[in-house]
Amino acid sequence: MRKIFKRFRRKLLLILAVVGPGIITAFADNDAGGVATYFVSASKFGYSMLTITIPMTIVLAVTQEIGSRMAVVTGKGLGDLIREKYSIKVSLVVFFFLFLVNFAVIMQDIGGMKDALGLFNLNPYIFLPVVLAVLFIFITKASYKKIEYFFLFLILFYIAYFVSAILAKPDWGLVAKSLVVPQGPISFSYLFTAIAVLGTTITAWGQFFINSYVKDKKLTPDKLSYNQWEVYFGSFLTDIFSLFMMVAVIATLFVNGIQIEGAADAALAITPFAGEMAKYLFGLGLFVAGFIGAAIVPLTTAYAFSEFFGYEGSLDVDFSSSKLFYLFFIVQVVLAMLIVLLPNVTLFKFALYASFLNGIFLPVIFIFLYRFANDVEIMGHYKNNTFQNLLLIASSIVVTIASLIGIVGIFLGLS
Amino acid sequence: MLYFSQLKGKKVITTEHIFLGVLQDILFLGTDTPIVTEMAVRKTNGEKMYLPVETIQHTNHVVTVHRDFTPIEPKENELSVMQNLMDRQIIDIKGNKVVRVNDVAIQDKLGKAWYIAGVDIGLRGILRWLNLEKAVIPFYKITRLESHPHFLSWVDFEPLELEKGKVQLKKDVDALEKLRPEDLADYLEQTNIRNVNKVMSQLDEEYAADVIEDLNVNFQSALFRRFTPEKAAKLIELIDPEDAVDILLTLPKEKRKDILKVLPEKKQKKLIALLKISGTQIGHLITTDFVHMKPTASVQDAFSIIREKAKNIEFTYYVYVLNDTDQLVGVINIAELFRKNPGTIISDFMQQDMVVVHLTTPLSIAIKRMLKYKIYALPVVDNAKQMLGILRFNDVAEDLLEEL
Repeated sequence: MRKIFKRFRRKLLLILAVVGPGIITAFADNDAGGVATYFVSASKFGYSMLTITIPMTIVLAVTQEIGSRMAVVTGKGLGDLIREKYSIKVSLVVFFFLFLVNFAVIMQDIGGMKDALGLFNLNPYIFLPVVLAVLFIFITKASYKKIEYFFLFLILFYIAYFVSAILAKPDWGLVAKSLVVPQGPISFSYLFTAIAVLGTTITAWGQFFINSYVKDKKLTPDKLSYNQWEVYFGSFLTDIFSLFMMVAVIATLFVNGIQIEGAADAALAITPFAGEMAKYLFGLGLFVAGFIGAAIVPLTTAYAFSEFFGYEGSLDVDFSSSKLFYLFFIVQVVLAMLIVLLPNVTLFKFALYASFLNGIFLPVIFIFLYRFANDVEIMGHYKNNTFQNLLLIASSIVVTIASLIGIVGIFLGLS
Repeated sequence: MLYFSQLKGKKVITTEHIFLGVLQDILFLGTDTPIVTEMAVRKTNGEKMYLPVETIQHTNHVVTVHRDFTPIEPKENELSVMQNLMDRQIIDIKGNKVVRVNDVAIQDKLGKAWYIAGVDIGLRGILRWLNLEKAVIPFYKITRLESHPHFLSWVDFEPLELEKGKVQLKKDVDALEKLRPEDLADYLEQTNIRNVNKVMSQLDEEYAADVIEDLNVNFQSALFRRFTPEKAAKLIELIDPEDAVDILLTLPKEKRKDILKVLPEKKQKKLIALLKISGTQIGHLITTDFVHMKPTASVQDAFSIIREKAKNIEFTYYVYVLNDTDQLVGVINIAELFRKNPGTIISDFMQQDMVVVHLTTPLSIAIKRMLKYKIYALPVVDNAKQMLGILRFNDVAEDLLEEL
């Protein structure tokens, strides 16, 4: 008995040692833009929207697992690999696009924080700069471990959506049924929206981030299987929360026939049905989602910059020895904040630009991912097996079509 | 100077204007002098062909090779610019990331073999690939941002690491100055004097002085011989006067005078006084009986020599290795002999960087050295490195005791 306990304890310690990258990246995919997309789509299509959850989880798990495996095996980030295999010109183009996409996403997230502050009647012109300054000081001063704990702690706030969903008293039987079979007509508009949801969860920056972050964690290949399960678990957990977000909206707004335009809208619209409490929970959830995005997406750009151009860049070193790394971080955040704080700027436009750019960019990233994951020189015997390749190809095709349809939709004014 | 970015992708033609293919890569020897050996040309059918660099007639917008070219096979020990240098991450001695290789510079002096001069790590290296370098230069001039290419020369790299796919810097001055002076001295004593001199020239003077104090006397002497009198004087000023005298004594008279001349008057007087009393202080203490042998002797030979000599020599802790002209080239602690196989040759394991004294070395310095390095007897050599005898710890101690 004691032996079993000992073995269990050792396993548990091993698992705890690898916890972080998979869960944090997956949750960051549910950033302010993601939350808004879930809300809008759920208010429009109700229970039938829930069917997207399972395929979305699989695609997320597969693509993130490949990224993290590459980082564990090679000790290199996606940026490192692209630079070393495809040289300077390709690196410059990829970095330029990543920067643009990420910048649009950062604006979206900081915009989400601004809206959330509005729900609490807090002046964004005062609180936004203060919160972001604290974030910057924390990121530069704290050690990797502390930053990781902080992110994991923030994730707890997503429980706000869990509580909201319970408060909304949904039809749980119908929720369970909807997970497997769509409960409603499948129209073009439904498909388009489902795909848009997929597109906000699977992102180009997510692929870069998991890579760099796992690399920064310096996991060794002997912990690979734990790392894989952590990534799978992260995708699973994230999508459970996505599910609750949608359920909370469906049980209140959809059943009462109220359609919304954004996340802050949802918080206001939900009040008559679920009470003041739900409004604040929604506000808190949105704020944290925006905050996680505003921390992680600029980090992704900073990581990628240091990988592509070789400068020291890691959360593990302090400001003075990683100046360029942190400089990249702050410049993006400050610029995005200034734009968001301009009067008459609506979030809606950034969401469009972000998904448009992400749509063009993501297929390219998948091509790199496929090539690297199948390169024996890079991956050795950890290279993709046929099953993993099939999943990756299928996921790429789905996401690529998703992004393409998204782009078409933007031009046709469907979304 | 030629840059790899300017070569890669260029058409390769013969002197008779026959198109051969496109230049793809350059191979070179991963040694101290990285001579460029071949260029890899991709033919129109996709095959690769390697041409010796000697066949290149000239390079402008195309690379022209002699019409009687013969393709060769690349040799095993050759490295490739594309695989071993371009785009690689450069790391410093401690494994920190520094920067990536943006371009590779090739020295192409007319009539001489091409060799890899170093790598460009600056923004200009990137711009050159985009054909934007010239366009940006005026901008540099206005902003005074980066007016010269950021360049790392070949001597800064570890050629051996390159083969393993790592571009590692030999040293990083910032990192070095964080070391304690005695650690850096230890590290420098493992390398050659040229390297020591180079590192020294990059350190700040006070720190350099600390390091020099901790170097062994041979390195001290060799360094000061290389320094200009001005530089030497500056360092002498910073070094403890007794150590300074010690160093000055190892230098040729002319050099010593030159250095003393540029010193400030006060310091100069003090050092001259110290030099005078240092006279020949240890002559009367030298023991001329010591065990010595040739560097070609084996451990077994060594034991029989010791057995023979031990009959009339009482002090046999160390064995001194002398070459044919009786110059001291190494020393061995006897205990060391027991750890080696009988067949091992002495020169394979003898200690080559030795602590020595000269006839002119003051007694106090001699004993300081013995204590510092925990050596019971120091070899005494003259300026031609010929061994005169040994100075034993007990003799020095006795002499000093009498003075008290």
